[in-house]
Amino acid sequence: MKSIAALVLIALAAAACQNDSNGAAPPEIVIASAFPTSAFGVRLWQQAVEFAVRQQSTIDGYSVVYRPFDDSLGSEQDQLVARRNVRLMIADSSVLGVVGPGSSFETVHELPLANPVPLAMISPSATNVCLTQPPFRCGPTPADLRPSGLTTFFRISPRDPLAGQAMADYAVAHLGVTKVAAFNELGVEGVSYLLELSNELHKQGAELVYQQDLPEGTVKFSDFLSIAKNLGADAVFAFAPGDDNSCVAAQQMSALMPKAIFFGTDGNTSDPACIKQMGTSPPGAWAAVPDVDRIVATDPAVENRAKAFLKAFPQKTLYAYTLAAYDATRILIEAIDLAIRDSHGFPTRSKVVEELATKTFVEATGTYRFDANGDAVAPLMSIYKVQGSHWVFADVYTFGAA
Amino acid sequence: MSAGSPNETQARLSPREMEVARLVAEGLTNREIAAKLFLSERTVDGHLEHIREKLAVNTRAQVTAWVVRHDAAPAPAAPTTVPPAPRQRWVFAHPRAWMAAAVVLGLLAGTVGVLRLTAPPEPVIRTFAGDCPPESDPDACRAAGDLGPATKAVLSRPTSVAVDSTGIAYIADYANGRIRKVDQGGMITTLVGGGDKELADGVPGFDVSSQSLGLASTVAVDRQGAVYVLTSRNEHLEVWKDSNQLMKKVVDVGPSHELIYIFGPRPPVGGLAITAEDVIYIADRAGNRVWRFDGNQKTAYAGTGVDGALLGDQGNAIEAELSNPIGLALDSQENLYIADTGNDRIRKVDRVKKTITTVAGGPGGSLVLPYGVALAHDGTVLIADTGNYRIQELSTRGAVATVAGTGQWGFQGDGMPATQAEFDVPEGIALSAEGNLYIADTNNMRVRVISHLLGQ
Repeated sequence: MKSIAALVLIALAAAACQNDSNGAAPPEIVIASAFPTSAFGVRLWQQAVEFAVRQQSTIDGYSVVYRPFDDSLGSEQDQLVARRNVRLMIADSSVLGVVGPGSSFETVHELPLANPVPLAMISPSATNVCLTQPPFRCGPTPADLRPSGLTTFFRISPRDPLAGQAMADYAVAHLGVTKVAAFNELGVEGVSYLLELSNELHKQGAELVYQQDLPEGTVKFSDFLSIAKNLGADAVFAFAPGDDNSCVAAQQMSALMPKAIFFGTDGNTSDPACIKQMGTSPPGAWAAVPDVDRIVATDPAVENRAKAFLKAFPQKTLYAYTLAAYDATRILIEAIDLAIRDSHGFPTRSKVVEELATKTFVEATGTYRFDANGDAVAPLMSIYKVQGSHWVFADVYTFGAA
Repeated sequence: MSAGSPNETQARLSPREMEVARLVAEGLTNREIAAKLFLSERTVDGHLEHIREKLAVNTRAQVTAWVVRHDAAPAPAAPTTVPPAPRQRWVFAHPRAWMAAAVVLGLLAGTVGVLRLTAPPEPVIRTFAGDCPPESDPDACRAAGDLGPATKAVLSRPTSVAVDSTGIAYIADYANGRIRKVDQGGMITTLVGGGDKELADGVPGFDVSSQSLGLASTVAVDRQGAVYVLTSRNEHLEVWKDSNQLMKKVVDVGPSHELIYIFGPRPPVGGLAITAEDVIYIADRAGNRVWRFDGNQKTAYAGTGVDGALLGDQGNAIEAELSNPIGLALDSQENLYIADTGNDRIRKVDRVKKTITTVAGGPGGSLVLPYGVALAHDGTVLIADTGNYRIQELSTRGAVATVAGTGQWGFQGDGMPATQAEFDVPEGIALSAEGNLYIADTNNMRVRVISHLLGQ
């Protein structure tokens, strides 16, 4: 027994000496992030990525390092800074993937450079429909953004127009809505919301009784509301940008259609003036938001890991898409892990892209796999409602379950 | 981690951050603060993030506690007591001091101080035009204030400024699609733009304020006082000229592929410089070239058209790569200076040899994304060092010094020495005949001026 112990000790010492003599640190894999950090004030997103990397600081003998990039110039995100940053990532061969871009604007400028490499990008928060599968002509087109033809950009948040589908499904199933009138202040982009909305209403046996395009910033909704009322609408759906006046419609509904509900989007929840614009006796007001800051996972390992994250980042301080940034990082870590295993210990950027494109990832906010365009197959949204003078979280909506 | 004492940290919060911190202490939510200060919620989030970092605190309660301690503490010293770092320019205080200097030199020792050297007060910065709150959403800064004082007018993302020989200033009020004019008395008007009709070429009596300028980011004036506008319309880069309220297209530079900017700011479409003979140089940012138009013909003058960093210094300018060139300026010899923005450099094209060199920036250099450049009569080069949020001066001896800006982005410093000012993406700059430097402080929604920066 003693001789075995001695042999073990000698072996350990020899191993230690070998390490000392080589002095070699484990090989390094870098996970980068690209967010408009100072412009959007989203250092929490960086901290979420950092937390996820710290939770798993080694993968299969590789040391994982996090390198954040800020795509801001002063108080705005900036295309030249974004492009410069992505060039730095590309030049560092140890960068195997990017969490981000954080915005659709950054994606437009970074993806055409990262795609031919190919450098995988997984965004928690870029939701513009033009990035992947626009139902109308966008400039640039998805083909412009992917010069190699390969899908290298993936996102876990739903593309914006899917709000139309979520709103329709939720309103019919949970709020008893049967006839909807909708106004659109988003121009051509709003048409794609309306399309999703009418398709889903039809599927659910409800009806889009009236729709109208209105100029951005409209404050007089009486004509629209009168028609909606005459057609028996029991809900008004608003597709409008943030910092708009669309919540004024809810205030005017309280006189004309007091029993109907108002259903908006993140344009309304992010508008600081919205609640006041709704007046003192607004109708029931709801909104669909393409972000989930709730754990929906049932896998205990995933749940416990995410709970540790939420413990470090208390819910009250969570900025939108923070948990999504954490989940996007987890997905990238798992894809890198798979790439290492499938490449016999020598992962490549291409292999990471391939893993993201083909595998399924079970995370805190849902189970993700990606379609040919890089969109999550079953993304989630949050449903918010107005309670008192605040928007409060009401429910999670999963597209795959619809 | 505890916050530093109020007096230790007070100087580190900008005025806007102090304002936000006080509203946090009043119990307002970020949304309410945003509404009160006419900011977007994300801007307030950003301020709060900076406040937490600067005060080394984590919670709103800690911010509140700090504000309470700060406001109960003795008032800090007035900013004027902060010793400014005087610029190293010495002048003779007495008009005849040069004679005294000769005496001193002649007598060397034994003669008692007839010469007195005095450091002049450091140039002070102030807002010249624009009153929309800094960092506002551009949509919230709709053009207003015409026929009133420029300091009370609303500008949105001004990107460029030009000054004629009489002191009239022209501002590209970019997000409002207008060129604004500020007379010598400080009154502002709209020169052209703000409407929705197509630009009309040479139609007398066509109301210029009813016309849509497109993406008109850049303005310049010639020696006769005619105003030139560089704009991108329908993805074509064009130069237009305003002469007595008549708009004429000067040159169609060509395709200028401008991506649709999804929820992001548009950069300037390029730059303009005009010689005494009305030769026009046009920086085509998206095309990565500088063009020359002599009144009849347009020719490539610098850049290959490739966005790159194969600089080709000492070689032919048209064989050199540029990256997103924006600002242009001419020296007295009509050598052309180019803000080679994406390459972090100021380049110079020799008028005679047509060769290009780097005069500022590059490896070990200190420039980050310089957008603007201006030339003084003596050859001093002023540079909008946009990514460093400051204005740099390149002397004729080749020395680079900061003349304005702390290097931090934000908004502060009006009425203070220019080196204590904060900018938020200073883009275009212009130097008047009197040596006043005008700075388009783009994201602060205003044009600022440093009077008599250079004693021209």
